Amino acid sequence: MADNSKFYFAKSHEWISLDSNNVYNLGISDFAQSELGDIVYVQLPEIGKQYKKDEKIGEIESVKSVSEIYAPVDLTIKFVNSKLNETPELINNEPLGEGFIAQIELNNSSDLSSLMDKNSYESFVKSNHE
Amino acid sequence: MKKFPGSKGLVFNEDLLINQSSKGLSGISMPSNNLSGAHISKTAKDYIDAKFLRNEKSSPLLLPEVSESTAVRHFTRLSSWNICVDTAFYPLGSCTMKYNPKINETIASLNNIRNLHPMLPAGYIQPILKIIYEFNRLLCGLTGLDEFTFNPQAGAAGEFTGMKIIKKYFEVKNEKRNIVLIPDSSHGTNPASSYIAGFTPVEIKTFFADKPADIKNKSKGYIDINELKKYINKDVAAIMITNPNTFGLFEKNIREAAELMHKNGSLVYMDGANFNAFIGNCRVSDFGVDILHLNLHKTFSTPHGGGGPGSGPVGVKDFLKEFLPVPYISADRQAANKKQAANDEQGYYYELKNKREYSIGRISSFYGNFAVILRAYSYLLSLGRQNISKISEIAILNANYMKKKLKDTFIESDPFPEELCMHECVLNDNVFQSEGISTLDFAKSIIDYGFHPPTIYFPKNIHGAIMIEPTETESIKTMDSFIDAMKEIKKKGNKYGSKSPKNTKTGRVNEVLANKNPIFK
Amino acid sequence: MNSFRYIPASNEEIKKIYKFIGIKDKKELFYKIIGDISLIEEKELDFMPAQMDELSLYKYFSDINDKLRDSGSIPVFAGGGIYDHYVPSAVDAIMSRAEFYTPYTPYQPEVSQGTLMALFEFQSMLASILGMDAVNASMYDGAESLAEAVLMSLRIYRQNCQTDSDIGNNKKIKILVSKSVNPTYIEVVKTFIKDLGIVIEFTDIDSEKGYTDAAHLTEKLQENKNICAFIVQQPNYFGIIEDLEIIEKIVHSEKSDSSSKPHLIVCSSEPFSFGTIAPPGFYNADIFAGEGNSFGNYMNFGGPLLGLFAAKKEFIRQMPGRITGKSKDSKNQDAYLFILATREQHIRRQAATSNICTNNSLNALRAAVYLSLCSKEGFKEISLLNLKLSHILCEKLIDTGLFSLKYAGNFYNEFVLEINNKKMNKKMNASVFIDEMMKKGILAGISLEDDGNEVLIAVTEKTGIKDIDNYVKRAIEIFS
Repeated sequence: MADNSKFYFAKSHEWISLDSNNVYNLGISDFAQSELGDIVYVQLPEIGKQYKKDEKIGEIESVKSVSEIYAPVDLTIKFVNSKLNETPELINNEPLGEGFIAQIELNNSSDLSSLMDKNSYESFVKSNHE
Repeated sequence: MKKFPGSKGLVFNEDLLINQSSKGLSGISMPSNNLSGAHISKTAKDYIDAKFLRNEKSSPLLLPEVSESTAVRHFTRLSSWNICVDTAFYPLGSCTMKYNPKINETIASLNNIRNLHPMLPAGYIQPILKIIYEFNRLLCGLTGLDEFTFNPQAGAAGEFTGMKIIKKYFEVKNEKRNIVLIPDSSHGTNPASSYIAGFTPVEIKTFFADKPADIKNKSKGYIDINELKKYINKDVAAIMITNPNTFGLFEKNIREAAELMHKNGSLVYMDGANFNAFIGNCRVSDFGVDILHLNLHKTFSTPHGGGGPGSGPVGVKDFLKEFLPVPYISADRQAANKKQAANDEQGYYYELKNKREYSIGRISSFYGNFAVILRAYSYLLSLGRQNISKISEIAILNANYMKKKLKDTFIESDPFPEELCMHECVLNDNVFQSEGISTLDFAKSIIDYGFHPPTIYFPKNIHGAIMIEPTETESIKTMDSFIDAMKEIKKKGNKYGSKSPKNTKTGRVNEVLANKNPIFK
Repeated sequence: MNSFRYIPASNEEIKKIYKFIGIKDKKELFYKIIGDISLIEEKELDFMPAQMDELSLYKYFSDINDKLRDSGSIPVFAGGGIYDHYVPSAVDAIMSRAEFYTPYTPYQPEVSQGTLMALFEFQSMLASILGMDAVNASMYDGAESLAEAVLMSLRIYRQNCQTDSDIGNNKKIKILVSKSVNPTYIEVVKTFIKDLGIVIEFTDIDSEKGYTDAAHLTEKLQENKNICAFIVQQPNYFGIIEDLEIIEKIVHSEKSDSSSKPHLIVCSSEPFSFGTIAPPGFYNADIFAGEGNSFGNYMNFGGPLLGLFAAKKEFIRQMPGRITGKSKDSKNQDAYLFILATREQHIRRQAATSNICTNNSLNALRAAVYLSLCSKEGFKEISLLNLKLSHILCEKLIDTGLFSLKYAGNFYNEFVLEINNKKMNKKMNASVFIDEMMKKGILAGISLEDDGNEVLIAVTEKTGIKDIDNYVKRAIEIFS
């Protein structure tokens, strides 16, 4: 979908990325989906709502666990991926693509600099979870 | 080859009963009532406004239409698909799946007893009130506490009741305390119950191994006093301790923890779901406990009913008696003199009372699960003072027997190799993992050998946890057979993997499908 | 013999285990585990009675059973939340199978398909009787179930208000309850919400008809803000049928300040009524909570009972308790299991929808067997028979001139009579009347107030015409 180098990751395993239409997408990382296992339900954020950094915007459920989705930066929800209501497994299959959670507007675009790029996120995961 | 209890035989298929309907059939025999004249032909609308009536079109009634014989065969076939305590070893950790004595069932089925309406005048139910009163006295003796309420209908309801008592206690003392400390080795219901009662639960770490490799150096498995001290302040209302905890270990520091709490003006609540480790040998009052709940469906041998009913009586020290919920049973000698109905040899007249000075109020429709209390009382009477202490002694011996016997193969899975456990032992998945077997695969595999799996993936802080509670009602032969099966599964490696169980009517159930598209009727 | 029959370990075997684990005796065993905390000594167990052999135990309890002949085998005209219906032998026969009563919660579906499929049938049958989408696998009893319904409504309300400034403004959330709801249920709800900052308000009943005063309900909804739910009982505590059509319109058309409309919570303690009157789901109830003991269960002196809980499909993730679902197994056969476990305490801990774990599963299975026997027409017939018999008794008692009907609203199988003390030579209040009737071997009803003249009387198919005629005869005797 988009060039991997343009992904920004949070320690709480969400990502933000600018797509070809110049819209910011938000989702969860491949590592996060693999930890959760088969995803059965996604509680999507509310369209139009503003969230502060680290505020809970939704929930992802597998059969035996629940994981919260947090706003990596201050943001506003413009569009949610309602396909996830019927096919939550999209997150398992394509976490960085079709399995995105929402499209957002950044309330302060410089916030992205507080997030990690792909390489630093991967080494973050490696050092913390192995 | 060793002979295990599990085998394969004829199993019956059986469809949902609603799919077996033939219009007009029924399994009920309508009571004949010689209705007089006009009433025979009357219909519902002759008694109530037509607008209130049920309409088959808008509210179709989907009940099966089958004969009594078909219904009986249906449920009997269904029953054959269950493993139960009476058919197999059921070492479900933290659930105390002991044998359910049959005399207790006979007693609970006595016709006049099971047909009692709860609002009968006290004079007509003296023997019933006396049973509850006497059972209360026995529980007080066994725990060292001063009074029990039997209103809570299961363990979680007991926890909720206990938390409400604590809430009210500080309200009366005019102290604002909102925190309940809960070690991470406690039952999952503990934080939920304290939260519903209006507290903020705060978790205390007792298990310091983040990674399996650290276990030998870091694990403790019980409350660390220095760690606890960090959390104690004037906002702390109570500590809620599951003892023995979910690692099957005695909380070695419970007395010291209790002292610290009491010094801080806080109370000590003990989750006594695992009281089978203490009954007849230890009093919880000696641990410094102020409030306790017990599970009659665990320690006191009442059947688990495929999920319930249970009973979760709550006991308190004297200073908390007036906070207990209502109704409660009072025994009064003076009242006995006044009422002719009193025929108790001790001269007591028993009554259900609805008022207590600081009571938290009502928590159940009536008094509580009397039929469960009755079975538990009968259990204590059959044990008597001669046998009561054998229960916990042998429950502990059996768990330690299994723990030790598993050591030759599973030593690397024992998070607490140096400790004696209490009523249950816990393993992690190290050894099985090394053979490519997940805890889930192990659990499903052992079914084919004719055993109910242990509790799995709980407690959460033990990786791939396997929690084995044999109870005192299992023999060495049974435990040996189970251990042999465990070793054989390990030896076979991941040969069967996700294909097990194979001997059951139903194979591995697809949980993902069911949770994605829930079908619930 | 010094072994005990529930323990399959001989003294030799016990010694063998001690030796195997390297411990000398019980003292050492406990000392190594609990340290210097003192053990209970033998003489300290004196408070325990001596062990009873099985025969003595049986005699002891059957004596008690015999003593209860005047209370456990008499016609019961008392209801008030629990009703004396007949339990067919087939229910007892099936439910005395150890395969049903000795396992625990079906955590391992492959070895629990019997319990799970029966629970699925229970949920399906109840859903159709109640007209509701989703039914769970049981709660403890009607009162506790209602309290859980209030907590659920509160959760949904708070979730909907996340964007709202109301919560920030610290306005109290309120629940509105009809005074015609069982007072015990109200007490239990109060216990549950006490420390949660919720205010409870009441709507009056129409003193002539005995049902919820619709005008007062409208008024209450208008003058109070932040109401998350209205609770009404059907049939209500006085046995009167509530006009849920009107109530639903008022409750659901009312905009509270937030984005959320108040929920309509319907409770009931006599679901047999729904064989005759329209069920709560027909009136668009959001949550149903009630007592299901009438279906195949004994009264057991008030417990265990059968808490029923149902909700609209859209709220299923907010429901408390276990929910049975249908899936497929590895051989592509139908298979059953508990679903949506992420709602529950063992996963979500304090954020769970409830702390409930053990429920009243066996009572739910009894109901499943009972309703399976009933059949569609049988269920309606028994329901109608309850209705008829109660009206017959009511008419006959009023004809004696000793009583008058307290409320003019339609009733199902329970009604309130007032003793006509003014007209009589022999005056007595309701409790004295009930005492006198007990002496004649009839549980005549429940006194509504301590010194009042009102008797709440219930009739079921078990209290037949003979019992009804006897009731009337004895009542006349008492007053003459």
